Amino acid sequence: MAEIKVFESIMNRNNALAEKNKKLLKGALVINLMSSPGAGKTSLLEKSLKSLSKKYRTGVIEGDIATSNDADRIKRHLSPSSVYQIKTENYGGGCHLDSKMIAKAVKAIKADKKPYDIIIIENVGNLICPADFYLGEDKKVVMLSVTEGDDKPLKYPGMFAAADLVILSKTDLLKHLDFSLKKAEKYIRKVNKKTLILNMSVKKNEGMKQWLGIMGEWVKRKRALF
Amino acid sequence: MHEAAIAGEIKDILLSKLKEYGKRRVTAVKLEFGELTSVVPEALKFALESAAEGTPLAGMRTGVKIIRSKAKCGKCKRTFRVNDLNYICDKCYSTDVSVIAGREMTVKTVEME
Repeated sequence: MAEIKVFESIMNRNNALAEKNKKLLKGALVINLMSSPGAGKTSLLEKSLKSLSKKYRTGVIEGDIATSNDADRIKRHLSPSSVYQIKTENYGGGCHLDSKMIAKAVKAIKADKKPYDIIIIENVGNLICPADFYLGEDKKVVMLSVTEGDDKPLKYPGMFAAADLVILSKTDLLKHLDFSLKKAEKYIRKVNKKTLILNMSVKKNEGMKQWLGIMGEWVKRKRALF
Repeated sequence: MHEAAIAGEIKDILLSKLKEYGKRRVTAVKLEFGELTSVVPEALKFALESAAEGTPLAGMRTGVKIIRSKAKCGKCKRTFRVNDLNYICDKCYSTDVSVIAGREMTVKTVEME
């Protein structure tokens, strides 16, 4: 029985399809938004879309194991044809999104035909697997809510090491908790020297202006490449 | 959970190799992972066994090798192992450090019949 040399990177197929998806999306800024469940990804999107959709042609791809609850929330703020819900239970109940699912979503919101400025992919709530699966995004945004514990960046280093922006969310709750912003920042820096870090309370509007500013800058930079 | 997601990707690669070489089943596979991927060999083997059930991969032997991490300091050019997620040069304490090994996830060899 012959042993065949393969030397194939396990993520090759996913990454190749991700690059193909990226090409279809042309000049659109693609954001991969990740966090554990309940950190506030959908709330952040709901709040941001009010301003973003006035200025930019925006599309949202939602990922969950089951239900279309999140897409339903987003559709209140965005044309329903620009919103797509991936249910990973249809792909075996995956705990993350992969490029195959994104390829389908891109077609569903017609991002291969009509131009978008921003596409936001809200990944399945999970700090582990989504970090391994590149989706063709330009930027990875990781949210960590202050109710989760400030040492999470050390416990899930893969996720935080890959981030371009870490949002520390729900800061309005800090007064009730032992969470230390200083420690969280120190731990993020331990695994990622380059990421931006932003404190945010969607409820109290803290950090929203900066977040929209960062997105605007990223859109500009992406456009300049096309 | 992490291992199950990776096992799914490995399964796809192996099934496509069977097709490519016109073989019936995979009897053994050798895999390599960098230590910075946090893959636990036992968890990965278990996840692969579950993913293989009822497929031409069922019953295959799985070998998992973990590769040591290696980082290079941009300042003093020293190479060192990344310990405890500290991306700081252990000689000159520079943070200008790039990882050159430790993030691999590779299917090395496959045996089929």
